Amino acid sequence: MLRYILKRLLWLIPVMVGVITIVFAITVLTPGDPAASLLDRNATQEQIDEVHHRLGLDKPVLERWFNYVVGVFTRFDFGTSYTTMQPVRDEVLAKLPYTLILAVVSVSLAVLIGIPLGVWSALKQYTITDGSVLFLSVLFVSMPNFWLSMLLISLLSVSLGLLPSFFVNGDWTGWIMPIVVATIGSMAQFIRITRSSMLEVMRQDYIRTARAKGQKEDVIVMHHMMRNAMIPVATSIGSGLGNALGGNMTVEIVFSLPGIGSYIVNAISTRNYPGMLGGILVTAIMFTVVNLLVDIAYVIIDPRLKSQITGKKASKRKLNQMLREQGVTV
Amino acid sequence: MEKKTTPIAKVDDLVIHYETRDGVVEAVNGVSFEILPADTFGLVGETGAGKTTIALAMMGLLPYPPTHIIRGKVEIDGEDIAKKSKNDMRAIRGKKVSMIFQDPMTALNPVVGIGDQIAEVILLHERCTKEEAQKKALDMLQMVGIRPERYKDYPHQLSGGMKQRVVIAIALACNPELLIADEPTTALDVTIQAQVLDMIKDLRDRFGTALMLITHDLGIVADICNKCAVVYAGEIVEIGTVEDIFDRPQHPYTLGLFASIPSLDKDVERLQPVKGQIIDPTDLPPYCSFCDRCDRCTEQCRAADPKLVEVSPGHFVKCIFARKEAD
Repeated sequence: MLRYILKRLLWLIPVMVGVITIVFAITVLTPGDPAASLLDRNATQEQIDEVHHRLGLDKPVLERWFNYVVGVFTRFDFGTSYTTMQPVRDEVLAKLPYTLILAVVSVSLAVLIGIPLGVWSALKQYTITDGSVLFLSVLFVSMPNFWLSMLLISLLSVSLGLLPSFFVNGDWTGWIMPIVVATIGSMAQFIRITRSSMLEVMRQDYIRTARAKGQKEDVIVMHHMMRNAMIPVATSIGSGLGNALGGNMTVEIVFSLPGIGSYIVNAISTRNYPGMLGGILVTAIMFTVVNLLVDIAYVIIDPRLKSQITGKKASKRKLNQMLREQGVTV
Repeated sequence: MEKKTTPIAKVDDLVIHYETRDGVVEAVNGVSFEILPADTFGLVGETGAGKTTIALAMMGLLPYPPTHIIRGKVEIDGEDIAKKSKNDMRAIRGKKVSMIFQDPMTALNPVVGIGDQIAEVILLHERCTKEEAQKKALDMLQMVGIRPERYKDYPHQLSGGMKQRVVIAIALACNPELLIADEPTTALDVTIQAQVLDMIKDLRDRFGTALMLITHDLGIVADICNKCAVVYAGEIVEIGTVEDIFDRPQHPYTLGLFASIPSLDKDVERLQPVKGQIIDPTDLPPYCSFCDRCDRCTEQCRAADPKLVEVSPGHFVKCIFARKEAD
């Protein structure tokens, strides 16, 4: 298991190099010049060259790419922001807590509400309960985040004046609307996946076996159905969390929450390439780690996957042990 | 004749319909039989004849909807199970009546260890601690021929035959009075079939359990049953002791089933199947449902649905051509 985790973490290196390469390619291929956004429109060519020299943009792309990769892996250096001249690493780390809080709280809430609703809806299939839960989840899934945010702002901030329309540090009420919006989208996703997965499991023969044992219906649901139904749900939670960690950009921007999402968007619009690269890299790292956690959760839920992960060594050990029991010397 | 005791299970004029989009499936149409404590009762018939539906009705496990019990009742130990509460039914299932399902590949929960799946049923029906239940589950595993160190294994680590052994261990763990085995060997390899069947036989004798065996294999019935019923389109067309059915069959369908069995001492090019397809259960005729496949069918057969006729004590045939046995 530990070997597997280490192996998966080592995969982070090629993933990061790949991300850096792609983002570098994009910065080269897209028109626009960082110097232009730092200087005013009447800047002379000399001034532009001077900025280029200061930012290191006068060096060849391959050299910049190589230096950046070396910097990331040897000094954990994500470059220097073009706009603030601060280390990108420090800036991103300062933004990270906001994104983390938003992602973790909203996904947890979505799990806590969405999974029970999905189970309930599946158990009451074809009833009004099922229909209305399904209707709400379809509605929420198809509602874009930014639109829901604006609806909430116009209702709760503008009309009723209950909640602030944007986030200010130190005022916890600013968290409420971003979290609600981020929760609703992923919750709807979890409801739908849980429901369909439960419906699938409910029809299985082993559920009938459990009933034939005389097992109580609530134990059948909790013990026999849920564990099997959670396998696809775990995937969905993983990707939901991954998306929330990197991609709650619209929510962060609408509510001016200073997280990584809005940091990346700002970096893009000011052609702050190192900022953009740093933000995306951190997102990619988190995404990989979350995926690893999901895969570990799989093994806990589904014993069929264990042999795949504990690997060949363990099965060889088992085989040797079996042979010894049979009296065969190995 | 064996001495009369009260039957463990009695099915009385049972009629079960399924509601589907294509219409009402008349799955079981007036089936009656009883199983005494020492009986091994075989239920024989083609796929789709309604055998499993009868078994599930006896367990109180019919999915509702779409199933409806239109008429009739099932009595377990003399008590109508339709009048039992959910809790009382749970106490019966697994304890008084238990069931082995057709496909062992899917009958076990893939994420729970096999030992704990056996312990589960023991814990439900017997007053014991978890440790005692686990110990008994371990004994059951050994009884069905699985080594105790496999207690913590999961179903995917077992072969099909071993899975069926686990299913049998679950079914027998609480020493039930009646064991319903729904085609216990159909999904298994031929060599494993014999092993599993021998084991069921052996355990039946050891525990003194009555057995209801659902199968389409007449050889198995001859091997281990003392009574049997032939089911066609949700009706019993012939019922009696194994000797009645095998030595003096009367119903054309029973005769057809025997004719379709390959024989060791006769060299035939082709087997004789029962001609035609099983009748569409959404569209049963008001007359004898076997008419369309029967060689002896006459005008009279299409006039009315024949009744079960007692041709000798305990041997009933549902055919107008049924004749009293000479002796």
